[in-house]
Amino acid sequence: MQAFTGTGALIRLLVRRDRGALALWIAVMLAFPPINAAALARMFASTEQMQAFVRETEGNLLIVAFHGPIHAATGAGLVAWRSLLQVVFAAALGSMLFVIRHTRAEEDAGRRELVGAGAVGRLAGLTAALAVVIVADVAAAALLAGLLALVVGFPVAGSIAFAATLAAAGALFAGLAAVAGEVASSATSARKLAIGAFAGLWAVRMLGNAGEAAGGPGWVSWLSPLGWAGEVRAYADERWAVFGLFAAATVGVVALAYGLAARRDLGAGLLALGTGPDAAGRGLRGLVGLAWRLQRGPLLLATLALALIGAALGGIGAGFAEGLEASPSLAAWLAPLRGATLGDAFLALMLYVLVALVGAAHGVAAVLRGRAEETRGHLTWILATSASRTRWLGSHVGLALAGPPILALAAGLSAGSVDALTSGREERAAECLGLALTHVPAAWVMIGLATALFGRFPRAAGPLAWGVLALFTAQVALWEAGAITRPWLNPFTVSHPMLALDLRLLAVLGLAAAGLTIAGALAFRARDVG
Amino acid sequence: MTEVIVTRGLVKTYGRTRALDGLDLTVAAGEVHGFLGPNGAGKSTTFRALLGLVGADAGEARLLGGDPWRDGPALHRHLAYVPGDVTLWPDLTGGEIVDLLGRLRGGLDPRRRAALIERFELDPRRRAGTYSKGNRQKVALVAAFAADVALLLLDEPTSGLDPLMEVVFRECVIEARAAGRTVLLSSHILSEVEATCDHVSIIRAGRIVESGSLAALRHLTRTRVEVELATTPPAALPGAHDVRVEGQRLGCEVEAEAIEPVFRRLAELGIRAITVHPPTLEQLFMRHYQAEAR
Repeated sequence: MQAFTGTGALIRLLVRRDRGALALWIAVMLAFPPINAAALARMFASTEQMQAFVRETEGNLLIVAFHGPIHAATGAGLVAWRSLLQVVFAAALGSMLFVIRHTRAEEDAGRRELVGAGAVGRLAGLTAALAVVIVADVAAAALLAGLLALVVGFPVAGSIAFAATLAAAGALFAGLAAVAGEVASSATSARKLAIGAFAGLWAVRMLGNAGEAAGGPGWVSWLSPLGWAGEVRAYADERWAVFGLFAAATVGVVALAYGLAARRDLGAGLLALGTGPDAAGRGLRGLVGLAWRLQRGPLLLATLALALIGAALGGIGAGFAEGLEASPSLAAWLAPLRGATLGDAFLALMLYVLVALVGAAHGVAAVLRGRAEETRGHLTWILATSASRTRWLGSHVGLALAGPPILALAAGLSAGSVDALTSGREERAAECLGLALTHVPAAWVMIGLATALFGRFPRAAGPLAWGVLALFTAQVALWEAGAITRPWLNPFTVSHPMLALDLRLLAVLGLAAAGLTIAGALAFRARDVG
Repeated sequence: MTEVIVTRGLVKTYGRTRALDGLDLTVAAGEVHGFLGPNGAGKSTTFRALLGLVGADAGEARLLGGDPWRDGPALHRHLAYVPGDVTLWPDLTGGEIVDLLGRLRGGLDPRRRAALIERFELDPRRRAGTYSKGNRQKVALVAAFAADVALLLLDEPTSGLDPLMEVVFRECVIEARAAGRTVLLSSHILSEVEATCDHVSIIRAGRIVESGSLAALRHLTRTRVEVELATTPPAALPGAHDVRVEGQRLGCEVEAEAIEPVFRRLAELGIRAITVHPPTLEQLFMRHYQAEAR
């Protein structure tokens, strides 16, 4: 058991370092279901209204793809159905990032070496990280079950089942992240691997849900643990056996992580760094070459992913030729799409999510890649040569700004052409591409904002930029659900399919993005670096 | 232009800390200038200010005849910088980074690059993520010495190098001086400074507390003398300090101006054996380090 020596001390260190973040994370997970309960209580005055909503939703591809089928037509059942995605997303993402932060990132920073030289066993770091995050997941679940059963007044069994889904998903993805940390050769690539696995499993669940609603086979969503989360069926006929699946999978991935950790040398990864060229090629000629080298991986990956997802969605959308008017509430909700088919509406919403939201997230990450260059000390190096600050910033922000149009092209063209080929309506390719491009200015505003924050408040730029993006996204989600009126100053409302397109407002967004970017560049030129 | 670096009353504060507190540093063209000081004395901040990475709160800095904050990129064409803690892009190879830095500076001599890679025994095909601390340092040194520049700014450049590579580094600095380059070298390795530098400045708490040629600075410290006399030593010896007498043996410390009268007096007493230790940089340096600790 020497490999575990020092685990207790490391657990105290982790809790001490991250107690604030852990508390905030748990609070976020607990917040979703009560907010949804309040919103749904306002939406439905009577049981008839609720049942009408359930009937309409069951045939609605847009919603079923995201949230899965509704298993219980009760208040509690709807809250669980609506909150599942949010809660599982927060639990899985938080658990993954925490585990990588305290395993692979510690190793990269050289702190694991420092700690490992003390009376600390080889597996103590991994054990401490997993223990803390799984205890946090279980604690959050216990609090959530208590909150739903005792405060909100939902049935006890269902509340326990729903809350346990949170803990099960969190623990499983913590284990997956531990494996990613062993396999990858750096914390950055471990994060990419873990989040990529999550996105892939999410896509499987979505395709399974949508396929089943379209009359396809029911087993596809069972291929993904995120599909199992829906099969727990809280507040309906709870299937407790699903937790056995979660437990077995978690034990499996954690065992795999331990097996790898016990064999691996410090600093090494299974995906090792090989040798490369002994001199720089023509591509690495200057700042743009360097920025491209640093940014191309995420950009190419995102482009490929959006092209594939777009193609899959285009195929699904083409299968729903029924008019939007068949569903009066949906037609009212998406008034500007009057006359379109249900599939068209589905694709319009999906392209909004892919280009506006995913494109903005990609852009923010690209700008913050420049900030990482600064904190890692690389920027000092570059600016000690004859490279100017403006040109360096331009190389990174320029590539960030190129992201959304490229992603719009990938998603819009692939979705549109598959739709056109499948449905025989040739105009769909151009329509989808045009629709995708309208979301680019909103993503640009986020890139401009991230640049301005980087220039003026470099230390806080990361948390602030992601925080604002999360706030805007949450506002849009609440606005879509009818819980709030259209939020002011939120760039993501402008091109939303719920509103008629106004090209002048798009131009305003473009100008705002340009202004923020220039302000960021000016602030960056005036501040200290490093 | 005889002065490559001039700062006058340079002040830089970070919150309540005064990293630079009226720094007056002068480095003449063609000299190898040692820059010494305890940790946290402001050495790295000085380099950052000279590179125009941070703006000074007060005072003036001139580098190669220009203002480093305003004319940074133009001036940087003529200098190369090596930080003490080199961080590299983990996915790029050492050779790619040497070339990239050279291109960003406006070109480098391929023959010199090849020769330096050979001398520093650097494997340029390895990804930087797999380099040890010493190897990362070598990448920066090869990039700096291969550049055709007038000024080298070296901030603790040899941390992590093994003794063999340390020798190569010293050769490179001496060659740079022979080629007419100016070098500002900060280091904690005093033997390295003694072997390569002709001028030294000592910084403490953001100020230069001592500056001058190594010979002149030696002058400021006392020479240690141990002598065995033919007769019983006198109780007092004018000009000598810390006199200790043990039988016919006498030990003392002598200031530079008092060497001649003291030795005349000792010669009169009859010298049988004598050892003289010249002042070391270490003594000089310790004086300031200890003053810091007090």
